[in-house]
Amino acid sequence: MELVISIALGLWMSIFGILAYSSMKKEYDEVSK
Amino acid sequence: MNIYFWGMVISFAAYLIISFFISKKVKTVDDFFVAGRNAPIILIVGSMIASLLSTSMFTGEIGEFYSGIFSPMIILYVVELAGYIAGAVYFGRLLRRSEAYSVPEFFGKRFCSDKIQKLASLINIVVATVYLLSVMQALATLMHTVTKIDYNLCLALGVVIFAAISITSGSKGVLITDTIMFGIFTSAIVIAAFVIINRGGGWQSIMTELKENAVSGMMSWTGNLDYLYPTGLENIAWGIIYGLVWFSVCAVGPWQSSRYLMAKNEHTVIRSSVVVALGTFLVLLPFAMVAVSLRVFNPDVEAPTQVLIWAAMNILPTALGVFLLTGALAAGVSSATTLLSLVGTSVARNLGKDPSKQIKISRIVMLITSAIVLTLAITNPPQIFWIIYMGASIIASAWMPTAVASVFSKRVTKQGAFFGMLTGFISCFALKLISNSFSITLPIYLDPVIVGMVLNTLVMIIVSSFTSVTKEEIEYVAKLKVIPEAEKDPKDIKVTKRYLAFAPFIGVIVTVILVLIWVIPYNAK
Repeated sequence: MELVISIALGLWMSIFGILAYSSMKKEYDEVSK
Repeated sequence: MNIYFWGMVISFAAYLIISFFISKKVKTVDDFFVAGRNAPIILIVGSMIASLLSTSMFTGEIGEFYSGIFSPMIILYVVELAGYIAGAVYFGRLLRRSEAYSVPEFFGKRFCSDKIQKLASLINIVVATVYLLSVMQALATLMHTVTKIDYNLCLALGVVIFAAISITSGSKGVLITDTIMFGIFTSAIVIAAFVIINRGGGWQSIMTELKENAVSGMMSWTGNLDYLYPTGLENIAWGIIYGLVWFSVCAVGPWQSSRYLMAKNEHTVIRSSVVVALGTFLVLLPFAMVAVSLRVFNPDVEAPTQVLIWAAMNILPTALGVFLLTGALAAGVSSATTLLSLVGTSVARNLGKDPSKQIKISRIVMLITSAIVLTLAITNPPQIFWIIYMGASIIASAWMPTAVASVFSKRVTKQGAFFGMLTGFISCFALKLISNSFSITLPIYLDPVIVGMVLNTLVMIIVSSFTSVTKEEIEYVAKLKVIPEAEKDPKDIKVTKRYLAFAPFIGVIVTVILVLIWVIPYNAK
């Protein structure tokens, strides 16, 4: 269970990292056009 | 007057001298309230971490780990830290773009409403004062325990120091002294962790000892079932809920997101958030490891909140002990300076129409607030951990739904936002006060913060459905969503994209570290 928690916490952080990256990439790509 | 006392006196004197020199460079309203809107990543990162981690980290939270809730606390921390990235990208950039001087002012501009600005300012003042009170109590408790000087005198000394820094040098001084203090307490805890773990026979040896002989469940996923809640699932739920509360603080909390108002540009906001999220996790780890290790050295410390003080005076070499306790004080002073300046800014920007008088008003307000907080601190018994969590709960209940709506919703009206924020604030504050006053343990799903956030959102939706968004609001939101020309430099965008591309890997780093320091050592045979 300790391993499950460790993986879940990593996923939680990664999800926000991916969301932030994708939404900013979209905005910056529009700026670059 | 022992050596710890003199270590503290010297560090206090150094902060005062630094803030005195910075005060010479504070000339304009922008310099005083938002550090000239020119702060680089290092100052934003330093100030955010220093403001988040106060003396309570060295006392209250260390005590929680020592008492056996490693797993719920780690869950709380990681859930919380994602708030930095989400907050900067979705809220912090717009906050800075609005050119407001405070978060309440941003709400006022966004909803084109003085009423919302005043309500948010009031909440800001209440929360900052409550939090300041708890920081002061922790600071004075630490000073009193270490130096044996009268508790009230310690309170007065602490107030004089942080009030002098905030009043003389404003936000510019707060940012710089915060960053210096961040450097001091981070290096102190990292060195202390190495020494303590080494003296305990190494991390694996400590983990084996904790598993076999310490409090039952201390390092397992359930946590100590005799401390917080009687089941592992409830303890985890507590970690997630309070993680989300602090997620809100990291994303929109006044003592965190207001740092973005001081950033050089929006790229600095985004880059700082990535560094803060990872940096805070790496700073929190040694705290957690030291706290649980101390169980092996002394399982019977009477007041768990003072276990690190015990370690500094009994395990560490004297010079390192002095350094660690000086770091603990630095953590408290750095949070206090930020909180006091928030109160000053909130009141001055509401009362002072003439910008030239706002600095003077802010200084007077900070002086009066310091006196009020000192009086309250003298008459209130120390309850370090829970008072802080009350302030954070109020921010999550009153501000978080409004902040989300301010960015993502086109339907929420100024009336909806106002009454939602008011309901979230009152319901959370009242429920927290009642449950604390009458020692009522509410079920985890009826925690005041959950009730506050749900009621805020419901009232916001209901009131908005009976009112209309004005043309003024629509135009302001449209303007706010446009990236300014100054932020479109391709070189800046390229660098910021690299920081963002790294952000998903923070999760990988978190998992790898937790597996290495927790899962493998705990399950080793």
